[in-house]
Amino acid sequence: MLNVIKMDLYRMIRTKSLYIIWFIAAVCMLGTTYILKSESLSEEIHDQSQQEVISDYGKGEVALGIMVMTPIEPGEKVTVKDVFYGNAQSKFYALFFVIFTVLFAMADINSGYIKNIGGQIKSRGSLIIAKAVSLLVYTILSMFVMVLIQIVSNRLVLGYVEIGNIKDFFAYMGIQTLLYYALCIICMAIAIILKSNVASMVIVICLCMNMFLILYSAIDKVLGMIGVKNFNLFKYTVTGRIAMVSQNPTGKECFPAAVVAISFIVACTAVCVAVFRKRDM
Amino acid sequence: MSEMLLQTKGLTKQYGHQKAVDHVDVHIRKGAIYGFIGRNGAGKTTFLKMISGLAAATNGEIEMFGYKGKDLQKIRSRVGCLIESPGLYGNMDAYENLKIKCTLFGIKEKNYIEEILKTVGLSDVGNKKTKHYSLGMKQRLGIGLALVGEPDLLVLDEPINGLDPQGIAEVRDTIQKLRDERSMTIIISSHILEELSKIATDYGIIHKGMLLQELTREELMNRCSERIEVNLDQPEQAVPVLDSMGFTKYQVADKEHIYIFERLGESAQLNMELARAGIPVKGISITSEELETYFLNLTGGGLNA
Repeated sequence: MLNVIKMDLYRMIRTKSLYIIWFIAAVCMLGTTYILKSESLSEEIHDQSQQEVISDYGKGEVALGIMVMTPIEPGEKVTVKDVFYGNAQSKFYALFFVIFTVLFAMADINSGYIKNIGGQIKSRGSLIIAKAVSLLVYTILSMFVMVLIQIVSNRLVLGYVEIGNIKDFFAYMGIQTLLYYALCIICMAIAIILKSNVASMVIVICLCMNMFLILYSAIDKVLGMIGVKNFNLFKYTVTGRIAMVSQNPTGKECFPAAVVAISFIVACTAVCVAVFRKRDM
Repeated sequence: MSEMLLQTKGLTKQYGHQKAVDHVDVHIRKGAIYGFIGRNGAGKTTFLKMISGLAAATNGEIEMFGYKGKDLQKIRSRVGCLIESPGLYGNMDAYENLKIKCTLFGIKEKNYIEEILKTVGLSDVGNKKTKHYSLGMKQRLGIGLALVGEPDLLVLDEPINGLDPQGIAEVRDTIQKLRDERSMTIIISSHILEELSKIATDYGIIHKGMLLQELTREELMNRCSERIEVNLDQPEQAVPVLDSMGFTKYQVADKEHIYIFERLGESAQLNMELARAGIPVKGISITSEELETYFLNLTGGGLNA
C-alpha cells in the first residue's frame, strides 16, 4: 500500500499540470489583488460589487458564478486573511483544485498506464486510496502555496503584508482545507465514474460556480411539497459549507462542516473503490 | 510432457448478449512462446486481459503457476503485460515511466532501470519525452514496463501491430532476447502470422471468441507444408465426389484447382474416384501451404469457397 502511495506521489510531483495550474493561479491572484486594491480605494466600486450578487440562497448570499467578496471596507487595510477568505469562500481557489484533480485522477487511465500496473497489484482499491492520499497532500500543499502567493501578491501590489488574526486565520484555513479536500474527492469520484475528462471538467466547474444551486433549490421545493418544510440541501453539500463558513469560524460552525466533509470523503472514496474493483481496465 | 504454466477451462467473457471469449481452453507450457492468432475482433485482447487480471471472466477458470480462483491474486505480480497500445506518460521520459512502476514494486536496486532500458534497446534515448518516440520505441518501452518486477509470464498483445519492418524486427529481437536470456514464458498475440511464425513455439488459433486449434510449431509446420492439390478443368464437378468420400476440409481455390487439407495419403484413391466419376484430372500432387492460407482455411476465410 505504501508503495502505491509513493508511486502516486512521485507521479504527482512529476506532473507538469501541477506547476502550470499553480502558475496560472498565481497570475490570477496577482490580478485579483490588483482589482481589490482599486476597490478598496474607491467606495463607489466597492458598493457596486456588493450589489452584483445574483441570487441568495438560505441565510447567506451565494452568487451563481464566481464572485470574490472580501470583508473589507473602503480605506481599510487589506489583510492576507481577508483575501484568503474571499477567494476560498467564493471557490475561486477551488477552480484550480478541481481542474488539477480531474487531470490527476484521470492521467493513468487516459494514458493507459493503469494497464501496466492494474493487473499486478493485489487490490485495485489501493490505487484509489493512493489517489486519495495524494490529493490530501496536494490540497494541504496547495493551500499553503495559495497563502504564499497571496503574501507575495499583497507585497507586490499593495506594498505591505498584513496577515490578520493568526488564530482565526488558521482555524478558517483548517476547515476550508478539509472542505476543499472533500471537494477534490468528489471530483475524483466524478472523473473515475464518468471516465471522461471533458464531462467531468464541465461538472466540477459547474460545482465551483454554484450552478447546482438550481438543482438544490428544486429538490428543496419538491421536499417542501411532500411535507419536509424549511429543508436546505445546500447546507448539506460541500460547496454549500465552503460558502457558509464564516471568516472567524466557531466550533459550532466547524463541526457540521467537518461532518459534511468527512461524510463525502468516506462515501466518494468507497464508491470509487467499488467501481474500480468491479470495472475492467 | 512439459510443465503447464497456464491453463484455462471454459474461460468466457460476455458483454450483454455478445460472447467476446467463448469457453476457451488453452494450455501453455513453461518456457513456451505461445502465439495467439486471430483476426481483429476474434477475442484475443479480451482473453489476454483476463489472463493479466485486467478484466474479470464471466465464466470459467484460470489456473496459473498452480493457483486458481481467489488465490490468483497471490501471483498476479508474476505476470507482466503489454495490452493494446503501450500505456505511457507522454510528458515523462523512459526512465521516469519505468521509475513509477519500480516505485510500485519497491525496487531500489541500482542500475535496475538502466538494465531494462538496455534489454529493450532504449539505453541511449536520454531525456527524450516518450510522446516524441516512434511507435516501435513506445512498444519496446511498453515491453520494458512489463519486465519490471521480473515476471515469469509476459503477455504481449499485438506488439508488432502498426510497426514498419524495422520496428517489427526490433520488437522481434527483443522478444527473442527475453526468451534466450531470461527464459520467460511469453504469450504474444498477432494477426501477422508470418512474423509470429518466426518466434512462436506453440500456437492457439482463436476465431469469433472460440479457440479453434492449439498446436506446436512442428504440428503447424507439418499441416502447412502439405496438401493435396488437384488440377481440373471444372473443379466444381469434383465437389460431390469429395463430399461422398467424406472430405470436409477442402477449398476450390480457382478455376482449375482444388486444395484438400486432410487425409493426404489418399491422393491415389481420390484420383481413382474422380476418374470413375468421369472427371478428367490434369494433375494431382501434394504441395505445401502458406501459413496465412492455413489460417484463413481454418477460420472459414476461404473454405468451401
